[in-house]
Amino acid sequence: MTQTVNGALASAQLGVVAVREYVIRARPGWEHDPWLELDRPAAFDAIVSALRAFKTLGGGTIVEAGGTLCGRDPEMLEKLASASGVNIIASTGLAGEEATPAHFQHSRIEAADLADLMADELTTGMAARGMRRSSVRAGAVVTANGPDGIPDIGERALRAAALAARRAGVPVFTSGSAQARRQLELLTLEGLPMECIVIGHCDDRKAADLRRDMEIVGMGACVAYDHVGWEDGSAPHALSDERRAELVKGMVDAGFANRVVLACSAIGCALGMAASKHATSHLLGSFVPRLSKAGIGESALHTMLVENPRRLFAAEPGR
Amino acid sequence: MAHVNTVMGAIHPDELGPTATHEHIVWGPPGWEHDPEWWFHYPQVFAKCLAGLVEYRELGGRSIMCCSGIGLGRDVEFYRMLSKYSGVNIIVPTGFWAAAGIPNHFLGKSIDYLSDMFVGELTDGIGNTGVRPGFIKVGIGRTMTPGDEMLHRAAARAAKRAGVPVVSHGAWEALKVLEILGSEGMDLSRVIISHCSHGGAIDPVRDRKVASMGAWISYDSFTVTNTSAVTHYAHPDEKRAEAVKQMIDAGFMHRMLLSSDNNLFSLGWMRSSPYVGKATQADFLRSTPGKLRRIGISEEIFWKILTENPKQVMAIQ
Amino acid sequence: MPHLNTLLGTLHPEEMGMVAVREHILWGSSGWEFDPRAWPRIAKVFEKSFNELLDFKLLGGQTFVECSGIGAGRDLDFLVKLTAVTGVHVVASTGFWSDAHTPAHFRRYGADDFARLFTHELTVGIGHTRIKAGVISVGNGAGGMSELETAIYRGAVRAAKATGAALITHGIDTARRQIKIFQEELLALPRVVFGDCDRIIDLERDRWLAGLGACVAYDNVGLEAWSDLPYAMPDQWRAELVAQMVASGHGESVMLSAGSKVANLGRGGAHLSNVGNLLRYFVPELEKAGVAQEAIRAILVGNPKRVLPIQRDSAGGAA
Repeated sequence: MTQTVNGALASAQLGVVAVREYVIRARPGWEHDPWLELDRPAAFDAIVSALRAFKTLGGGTIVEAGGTLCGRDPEMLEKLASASGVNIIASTGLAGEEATPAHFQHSRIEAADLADLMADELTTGMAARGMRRSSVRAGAVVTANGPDGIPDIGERALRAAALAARRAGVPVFTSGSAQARRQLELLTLEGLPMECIVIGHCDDRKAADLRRDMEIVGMGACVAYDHVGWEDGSAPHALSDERRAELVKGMVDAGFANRVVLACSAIGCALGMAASKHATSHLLGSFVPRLSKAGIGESALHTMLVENPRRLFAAEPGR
Repeated sequence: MAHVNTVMGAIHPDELGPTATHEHIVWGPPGWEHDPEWWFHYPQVFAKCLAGLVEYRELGGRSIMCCSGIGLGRDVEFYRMLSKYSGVNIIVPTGFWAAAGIPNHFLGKSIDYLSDMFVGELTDGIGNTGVRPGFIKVGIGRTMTPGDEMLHRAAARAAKRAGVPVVSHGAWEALKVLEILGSEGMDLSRVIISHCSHGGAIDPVRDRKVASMGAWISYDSFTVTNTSAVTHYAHPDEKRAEAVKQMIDAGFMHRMLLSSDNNLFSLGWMRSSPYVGKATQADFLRSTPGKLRRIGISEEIFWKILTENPKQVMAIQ
Repeated sequence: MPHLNTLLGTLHPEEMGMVAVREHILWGSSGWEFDPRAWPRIAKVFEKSFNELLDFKLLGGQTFVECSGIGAGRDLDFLVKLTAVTGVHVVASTGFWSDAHTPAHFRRYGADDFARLFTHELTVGIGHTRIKAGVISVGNGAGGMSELETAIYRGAVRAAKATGAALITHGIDTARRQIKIFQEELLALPRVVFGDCDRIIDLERDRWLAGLGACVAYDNVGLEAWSDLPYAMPDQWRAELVAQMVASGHGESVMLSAGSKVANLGRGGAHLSNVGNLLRYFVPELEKAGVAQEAIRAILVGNPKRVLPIQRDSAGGAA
C-alpha cells in the first residue's frame, strides 16, 4: 500500500507518477518576511488547475518532494488532492545544508533521532504549523545535498532517511547526483535495499553522466530524470529537454527502462525563490511525445511512468 | 478570487472543511472587563479554549465561526494563538450583536458611519492586527427596534461593498430582517438567519419561507438543552432535529446551517458561566449525529451540511 | 518625541519604570518548529510566562524587553496577549540573534536587506500586522563574527540610525569588532547596549565600553552554580562587578537583566533563571555589595529610560 495524503492506496492505482514535484516551495523562515504574502486562495486555485491539467493528460499521482522544511502544509495538500483528483504522496526529510536550520545541524541530534522524526511523519502524521502533528502522513523520504560533497548534516539525514524508510516501507528520493555513489553507500550502510532508492536529479547539467547512471541501475537502484521542463538558462542546473531525452533514450536502449523514473520538479507556488516556468503537465504534454518521437516505445514509457513507481511504492514496512 | 477570511489569513473555501457556523470562543456583554467578578485567571481561559478546539478538531471539525462582535469578547491575538495551536480555522465578524449590545461610544452614529467602519475592518483589518473579518454580525432584541434596523442597513451596505455575508441574530423577525436587507439591495443568498432552533423560536413555516427567498436558515443551538443553565433558549435537541428533517423533506438541505452557539469561555454572562456544566462545540459534533440518525438523517448528511453549505455561504467572491 | 514601542502601543519614557533589558519568553534556534520532540505544551508555557511576569510586576518591575527577535521563538500574538493580561509592558525586538538563529529564507540577505527588514518592523509593523518592534537585538555565536553576522550587525546599525531605535547586542567576545563596525557606520555609541557582559568577565573592557559612551548589560543574573553553562557564576560576583563599575563612575552605563527563557524550544540546555530573580535576589545582593539605592535605581530605571526609547536628536536625525 502507498500512503497518499488522502490515505492508503494500492500502488496499482497510482497510475502515471511524477516522482518529484513541488506544491508550495519556500525556505524555512519565509513566513517572517513582511514582503512575502502567500495568497493562499489564489495559490490553491492555480495548483488545482495545474494538477487537473496533468490529470487530463493521463497523470495519476505526484510525489511532493519538498520534505519537512520547505513550505509543506499537510492539510492543504490533503485538500488539493481532493479538489484535483490527483493523488499526492507527501514527503518527509531534511533539505540541503543551506536550508536545514540550526536546530538540526546541532550534533546532539543524531541520525537515530532524525530517523524517529521522519518515521513519525510516515506512520503517525506530518508536523504542521503551530506545534501540531497533523493526521496526514508522508509516503516518501527525500534528502538533498549540494555538488561538493556531503556535509555532516547531510550524512546524518541520509542515514536517517534509510532507517525511517526501512521502518515504514517507503522509497528514498535523493537529490544532488554528483554525490550519487556516496548517497548509495550511506543509504545501504543503514540497510536500505537498493530497490528502494531513487537517485534524483541525474539530469543536472553539471552532473549528467550516463555511464554513472548505468552503474547505479546496475547495482539495483533507480535513477530519476526529474527536472523535465527546466530548459537551458532557466537555472544553473538546467538542461535542455532535448539533451534530457537523449539521456533517457540511452538508458532505455541499454535495457534499463525498468530503472528510470521521470518528473518535472515544477513548483506550484514559489515563495521567495524562482518559480518554474512550466507545470507538471509538461511531462505528459511535451516530454513524453518527445520521447516517443525519439523512438521510445509505449511499453518502455509505461514502465518508466507507471510500473517503476508502482514497484517503488509497493515496498513493505520493517525491512 | 473566492476566499474565506480567517484570523490566520485568507484560505480557499475548499479548506474550510466541517464548520460550526454560529459559535463563540469567548463572549461577554460590553463592559464585562470592568467587573472583577469576571476576572479570570487568563492562562486558564487559554488552556480551556485550546483544549476545546483541539477536541473539536479531533472529532472532525475544521473551522469555527465565532459570532462575538466588536466589544463582545472578539480578541484577535488570542484567537490567532488558539487557531495556530489548535489547527482550527477561526472566522470572526465585524459588527455587533443587537442595538441593545452596542457599546455607548457607537450609539447615535449614522448608518453610513457604521457601514464605513465595517468596511474599514473588512478591507484594512481589525485595529492594527491586519486580520480581516469574514462576515458581518448584527441582530435584534425581542423585536426590531429602530436601532436594530439601522444596524441591519449598515450591515447590508457594507456587505454589498465588501462581498461578505451577513449573520442576523433575529429568527423571530426573520421576514422583517430580510425585508430591510433586501430594501438595501442585498443579495439574500448572502444572509444567514440565526437562532431558528432556539427554544420558542422554532417555526417551520417561516423557515421554508426564508429558504425559498434564498436566505440561509441557521439551526444553531444544538446541545443547548440545560434549561437551568440557559433558560431562554434551551429545549430538547429532538425538536431541533425535527426542524432539520422538515427542511430536508421540503428540499432545503442546501439552505441550512447547523451549529451549537456555545461559548468555550463565558466572559461575564451569568447564565452561561464557564463553571456551569455546559456543552462545547466538540459535544455538538459528538451528540448531534445521533439525534439526527434517530429520525432517519444519516451521519453522512450531517457532515455534508457542515462542510458544503458553509463553503457556499462564506466564500467572498 | 522619545517613546517606547510596546506590544500594546507607545509609552512615554517616564512610564517605563524598572526594566529588564534582555529576557525571552519562547526561545530556540531556528528549526524547532519542525521537531515535535522540541515542542512544549503551549498552554503551560503561557501559564508559566504569565506567572513569571506577574511575579516581576509584584516585585515592582514594569517593562520587559523580549530579545528573541525574528524566527527564534518570537510569537507576536502570544506576546500581545501576555502584555494585555499581565499589564507588564512587553517590548518585542527585531533582529537575528546569531547565524544559527537566522532562518534559511534570510541567509541570502546583505546588510541593506537586513536594515530594510528591521526598519520595517520598527516603523510599519511585524509581519503583516502594524504592531511594532521597540528595539533591535542582534548577536553572534561563539567563535567570532561570521560573514552573515557581520551583515546582520551592519544592517542593525543602519536600521538604528534610520529609526532612532536602540541596539542591544549579544556576543561580547566580538566587542572590539562591534565597536569598529559602529564607528565605521557612524552610529552614536550611547545608542548601544552590549549584552552578555557577565558571560566573559572583563572589567577593563566594560570600563572601556562605558568610556566610549555605550552601556554594558549584566544580563544573566540568577544563572548560578546550579547551571552547567560555562558562564554560570555566583550572583555575588556579578554584584561586585556592578559595584566596581559604579565606584569608577560608570553607574550610568550599567543595565541588568536575568536573560530568562520561559520555554527553551530545543532539546535540552534549558536556562532556567527567571525575571523575578532580578528584583527578589539580585537587588539585595547589590545592596550587600555596597551599591547605593540611588545607583540601583539609576541602573534599573534611569539608564533604560535614557537609552531604550526610540529617539532622534534635535536636528531630526537619529540621536
